[in-house]
Amino acid sequence: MNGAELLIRCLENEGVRHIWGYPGGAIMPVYDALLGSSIRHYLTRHEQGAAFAAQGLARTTGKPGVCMATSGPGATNLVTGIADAMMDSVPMVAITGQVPSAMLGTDAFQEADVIGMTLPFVKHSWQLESADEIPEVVRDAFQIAGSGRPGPVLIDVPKDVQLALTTGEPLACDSRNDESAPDAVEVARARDLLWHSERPVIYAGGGVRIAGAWNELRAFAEATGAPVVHTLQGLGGVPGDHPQFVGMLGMHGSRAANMAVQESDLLIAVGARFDDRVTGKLDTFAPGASVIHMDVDAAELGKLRRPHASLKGCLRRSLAALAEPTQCAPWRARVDAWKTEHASRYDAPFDSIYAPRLLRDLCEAAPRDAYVCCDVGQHQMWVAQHWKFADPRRHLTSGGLGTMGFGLPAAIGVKTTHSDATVICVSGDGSIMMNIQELATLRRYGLGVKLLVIDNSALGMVRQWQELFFNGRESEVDLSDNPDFAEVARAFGIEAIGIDRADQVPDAIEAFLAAEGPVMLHARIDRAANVWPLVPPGASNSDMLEPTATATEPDERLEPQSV
Amino acid sequence: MRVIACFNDTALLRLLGVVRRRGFCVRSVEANVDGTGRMNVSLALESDRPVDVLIRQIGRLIGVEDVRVEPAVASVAVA
Ligand SMILES: Cc1ncc(C[n+]2csc(CCOP(=O)(O)OP(=O)(O)O)c2C)c(N)n1
Ligand SMILES: [Mg+2]
Repeated sequence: MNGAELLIRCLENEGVRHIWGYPGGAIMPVYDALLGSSIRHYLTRHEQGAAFAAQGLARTTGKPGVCMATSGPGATNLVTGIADAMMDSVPMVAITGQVPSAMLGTDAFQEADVIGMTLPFVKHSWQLESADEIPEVVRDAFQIAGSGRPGPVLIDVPKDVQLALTTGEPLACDSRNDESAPDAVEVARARDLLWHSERPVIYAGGGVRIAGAWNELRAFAEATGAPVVHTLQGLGGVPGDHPQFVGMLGMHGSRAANMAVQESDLLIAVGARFDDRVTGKLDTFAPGASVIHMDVDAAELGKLRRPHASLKGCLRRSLAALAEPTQCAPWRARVDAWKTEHASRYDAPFDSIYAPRLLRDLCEAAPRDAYVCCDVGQHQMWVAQHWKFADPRRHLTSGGLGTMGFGLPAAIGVKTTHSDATVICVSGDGSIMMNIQELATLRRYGLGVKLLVIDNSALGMVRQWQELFFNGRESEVDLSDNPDFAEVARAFGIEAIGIDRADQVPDAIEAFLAAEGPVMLHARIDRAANVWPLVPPGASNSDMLEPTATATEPDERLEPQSV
Repeated sequence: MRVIACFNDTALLRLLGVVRRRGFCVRSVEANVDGTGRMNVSLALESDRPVDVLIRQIGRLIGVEDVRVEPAVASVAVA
């Protein structure tokens, strides 16, 4: 057996069934070894697509997703997907071919220092020196990627190592994980804080999904009676229609959620990291609150805000340890009143398509357990605000890195992993072009992904900021010469529906959900629509902007859309 | 600060990378590998960020066995 064959056997041994990748010279022995393997390889049309597809598996199963590329440009093309996985703590094993060991450091053809390039974005990485190392490295790679706070790892395999003969055998998988209980003294301190709190708020993030702790979160919320706010990654931690769920907090959070946090006297941070999009101006965030911080990663505790109680360890155990009644009923009533008062309205009176309403209607018509993969921009925030997620694994969004182009390949990864599930990708006219080539992948494998393109003929989120914070001086955000996306889809052999009026929405949603194979719904919306409310960059979450009277209506100063 | 880690050819790079990215300036480095394959690194650092957070961030690196602030170093250089 050679190193490449042993590598594939070790991956099979780890239970890998899908790999997304793209071949090239320096990884040819591995592609050859794949031919005899039980692993199904999916050819994406760009290595970035492979990395995001692997994330589709990882974010919905909690297991490491595997992607593969050749050396040099193949490896550099993977990097964005690896960085994205690091920022959102997504388990991933990336495998790259490399020039032969003897040629390393000689600027050989397609040599790139992928170890150096990815150092900031991986939990760990290895450049193999011998085929005999493969079993141990693969075992450790999967253990490290999937345990504790998960993240990406990289194995760089020089071509001579792939070709070297070896007698190695796969080793038993190492499924050790950090299930440690929080420190008893800290638990006692946290209980005391909870007991004395009159205005507690549970601030829950992506850690809840990662730890598979949403049942415990819900039990904790119901025991304490405290209102729950979620970060973008946390959405679905308690179901979107749960009475204690107030909304997303932060820059595009709901007013009620931000008010609750700002007025709270105790913030219980559960698998959340006080990200700047969440806190706004940090020293004005929840100014009167004590903090209980639960996280599996000790390095998050105190990174941006000093906790009064630090519960390091398994979130499920930390949540269970604190699930006791509190005395916050009057506070709950106040928060509920804010929630009612500031609830989203969907009764926009105009003829054009109102994206929040389209998404609300699609959410109501789609199965409750549909997976929704987003791209980045206004449409992403509208999904976060208006979709009601049943659990956090249903929502896939690039939060930490905010990578346009994430949505379609991620949806491909989800659909290959969960072939019976409804998988919807919500993209924008800018974002879809970042990985549009993956329509060919959809088509090739007949993956019934439902792709909604919300087309505002603009890089809408950037346009909105230019409107609000740069005196309306638009710079390089216009996409009014977009191709007709429905035609593009059809050229790839994918069914497509195009709409541009509100009255077309109900029929379009029906056809979209009924389609068997891949389908695109291309919805043209008003270019001037903005995401509300909004905390201006650098401002306190207490200072949310609301729409001006005309802001959600078609803006007459702008050219009518050429539809 | 003293860091003890399993030595391999990227260990020092990883360590110094974390230090720089997390907002610390390196004023001096001393590193050596002992007979058991352990690398011993002493760093004098400067920053206005809390050093306990950096210690935990370094502690996450695979192969790091021990991270300690040494009082003599801490009092002169580590904020
Ligand atoms: C790869 C990448 N490049 C640039 C950005 C900056 N950016 C954030 S949102 C956005 C506009 C996205 O446009 P579109 O996909 O049409 O979404 P919209 O905001 O219009 O809904 C841009 C350029 C980014 N997040 N990712
Ligand atoms: Mg757009």
